[in-house]
Amino acid sequence: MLHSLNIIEIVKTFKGRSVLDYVSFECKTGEILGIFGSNGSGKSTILKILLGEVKANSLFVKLNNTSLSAKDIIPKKIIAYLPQYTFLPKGMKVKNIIPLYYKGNEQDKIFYAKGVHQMTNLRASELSMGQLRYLEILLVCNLPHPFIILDEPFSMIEPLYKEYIKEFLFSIKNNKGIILTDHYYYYVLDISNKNVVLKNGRTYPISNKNELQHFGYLPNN
Amino acid sequence: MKAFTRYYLIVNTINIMFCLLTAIMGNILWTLFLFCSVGIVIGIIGFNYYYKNEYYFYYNLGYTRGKLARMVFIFNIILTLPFLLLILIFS
Repeated sequence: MLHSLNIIEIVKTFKGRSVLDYVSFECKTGEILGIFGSNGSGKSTILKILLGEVKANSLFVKLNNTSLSAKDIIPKKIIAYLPQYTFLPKGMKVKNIIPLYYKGNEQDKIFYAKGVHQMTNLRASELSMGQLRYLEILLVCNLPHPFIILDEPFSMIEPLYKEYIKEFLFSIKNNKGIILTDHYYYYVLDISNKNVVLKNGRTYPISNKNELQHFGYLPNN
Repeated sequence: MKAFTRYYLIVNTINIMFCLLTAIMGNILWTLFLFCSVGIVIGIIGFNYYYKNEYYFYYNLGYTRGKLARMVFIFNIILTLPFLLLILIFS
């Protein structure tokens, strides 16, 4: 089933300073939307607002052209979220973590995914950064939620797992809408089919590296 | 439910440690009351402090912070009621 998620006019001010100034974007099933922005530009604030961690001054959300309260995003399982920092219980073994997310045969999607078999007997704290991130992405992206937000999925991980992640995101793209933010811009540009850059609290559509330079996200050389 | 059990056990481990202080003083009714109220709040504060990022683990399963807290309160009240009844019967 095809879904569309419209985030309309997010306004957020902190102590009188405007952080998000009528930010809007749309993501549909089959799209990978890349969001770029310097540190402090408001990317994380957008994600926290969507998850109800931060309250916006104004926000309208539409799912398939029907209004949706931001409060319903988690309980109705609209958006699955991969946070910037690891969220798995560190002391638990991978083989015990997977059943917390999936029941019965559904677990096979994770246990038999590429590269997982060598992790199953390890605790989350014993995994390399790449293994951990890849496992988290598998857990989050296989959930039935129609949309996924990935916050810095490529940061600090070894090249092998970056390729695994890219390959996996391509494989699920047709059934999900994916919103992605990462400073490894070339990986994002490589897999996204729509991009925006956040500057001075507003979003601007971009399509290549030159436009990222134009908006001051990358240096001009 | 398996995931909630983990949250429930962590919050109540902290909760029970707090309640043991009153149990040592010998006031069982007061201990049961704390186990269903202030102790849970202390447990949740402890979870926020030591396991804050794990909340995302629960968000992805449809649990908000409010829902997790409500469920702990409800389960603890259900767990406490039989003890409360026994105390009232035998007192």
